[in-house]
Amino acid sequence: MRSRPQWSFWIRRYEFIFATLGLLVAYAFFLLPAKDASGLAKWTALGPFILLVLVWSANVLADGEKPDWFKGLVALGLIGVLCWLFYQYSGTRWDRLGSSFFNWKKMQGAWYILLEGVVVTLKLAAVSAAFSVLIGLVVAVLRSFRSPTLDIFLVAYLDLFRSIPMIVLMVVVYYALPYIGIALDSVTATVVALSLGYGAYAAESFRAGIESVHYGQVEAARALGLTRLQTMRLVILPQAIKVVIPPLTGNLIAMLKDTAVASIVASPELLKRAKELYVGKANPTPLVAAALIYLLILLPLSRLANYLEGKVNKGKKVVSI
Amino acid sequence: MREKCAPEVMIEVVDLHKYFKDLHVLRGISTKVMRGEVVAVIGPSGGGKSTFLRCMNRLEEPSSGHVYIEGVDITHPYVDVNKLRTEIGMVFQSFNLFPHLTCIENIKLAPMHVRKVSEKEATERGMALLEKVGLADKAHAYPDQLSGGQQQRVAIARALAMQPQVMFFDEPTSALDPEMIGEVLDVMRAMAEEGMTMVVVSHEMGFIREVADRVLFLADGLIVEEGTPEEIFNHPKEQRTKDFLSKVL
Repeated sequence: MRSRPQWSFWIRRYEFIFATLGLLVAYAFFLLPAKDASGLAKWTALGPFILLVLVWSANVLADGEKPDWFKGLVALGLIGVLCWLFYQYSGTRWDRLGSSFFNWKKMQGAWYILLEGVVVTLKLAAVSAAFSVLIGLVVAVLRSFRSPTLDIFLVAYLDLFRSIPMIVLMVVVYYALPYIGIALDSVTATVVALSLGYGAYAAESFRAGIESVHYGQVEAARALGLTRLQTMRLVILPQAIKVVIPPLTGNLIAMLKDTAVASIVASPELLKRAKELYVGKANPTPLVAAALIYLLILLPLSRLANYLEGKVNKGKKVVSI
Repeated sequence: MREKCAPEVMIEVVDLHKYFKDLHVLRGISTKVMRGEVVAVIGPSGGGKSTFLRCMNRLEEPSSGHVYIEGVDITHPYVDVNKLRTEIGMVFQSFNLFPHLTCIENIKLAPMHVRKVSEKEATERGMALLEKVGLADKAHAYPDQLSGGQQQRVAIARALAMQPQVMFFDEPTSALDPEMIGEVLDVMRAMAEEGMTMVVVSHEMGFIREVADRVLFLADGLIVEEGTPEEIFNHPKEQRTKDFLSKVL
């Protein structure tokens, strides 16, 4: 049992907290402006209110002595108040929400086209994932040989492709390279750009994994007469893979998201299809549907990445302040 | 007592130097190791004992000088380092077992991939070696399930599985709890009695006195004094040796 101090600072006492809460409620009832108030009048009343609500919540949430259920309640309340304020004062035309964002009648015949887009997206991601992992593995293994000459080229590759934004890389590959005689179709250009770009990230993940293995392992393997490649394949990589998998999964998820960038080089993937439908139907529902589909695919994958990371970090002490 | 073969030079070291950047770690070491001989290397830490051992199988590259193993100059740039190392078993202070493999897999890895022995034969030989170090029942355990002494015995079996001509021990008991030192030394004693050529860096003076044929006292990168255990421990000639022994005995 933790020993409690006999007194607590006045702003942390429940009397003060509930008294100020009462004042905030009174503020909300009497001082908040009408829904259609104009700019200056609206913000002179609304601004201080939002500020006070935030300060009041922060005071409670930052207090280590308050029970968790109380802080949970306050956090929920805060979110509720902010949502309500947005609903009231943002000027959003809520009446149009249904017909614009969720107009499923407009989606007749569109789902199949979106599904085709999903298939292209997943294919692009799978092929690029395979290539980028391969590139990453080869680069990381070559780097582990620590050859100064080789490193110049490898580091140049890593720096170059980690510095160029993916969208720029794709545009250059698709629109610029044909001028020097390298004409790739949009799908190939996408795969090339994604593989090269994410290959650089994969290489860094593999390198971190390889370096996490104790040097004594290399010495023991080499002392037994194993060659460098055998040491890598039989001793280092099997141990490194545990460390490599979580960040690599993260990279591949980011890559799957970046397939959407391919819509600007006319790859017929999900976003491209959604944009075509949006224009054709003159309604943004296909875009919302595409967003939901991305969410549906990527949310489980993000959870998977978190889970894998937790597995590797099992037993590791975590600092809590 | 083990049988002594006819004296035959196994390792010959000629004027071996090693620099780490500006640090002159080995300052001209020359010695010979005969077949079947057990040579102990003692001396203060930082004196170059480990470096000396590691230069002889090129885990460290010698800066100058020559090391001949069975007449082959291993410092020659065209020497096949991997082949050379198969003839030299090495046991490390920190065991360095492969944690992702079971004991028997640790042992059969190198014979299968370097010597290209069939899996069946490697397993059989590995089991025999585990039997020899008294750990046959741990064949399918992973290293982190074993005590330090058991891990080191598996590491010895792993080195022996390559059927090396000579065994190097780099402070094999320094990382062990006191009650586990004995079991490792027992295995090493048995190897010495079977006639294995051994170079042992160690601080276990009792063991060295009993098992070693010759003792090298290495300090400041030089062999200050060498001789039989009797000569070194009971009648040291050099002041440097006397000082060291007065501290450790």
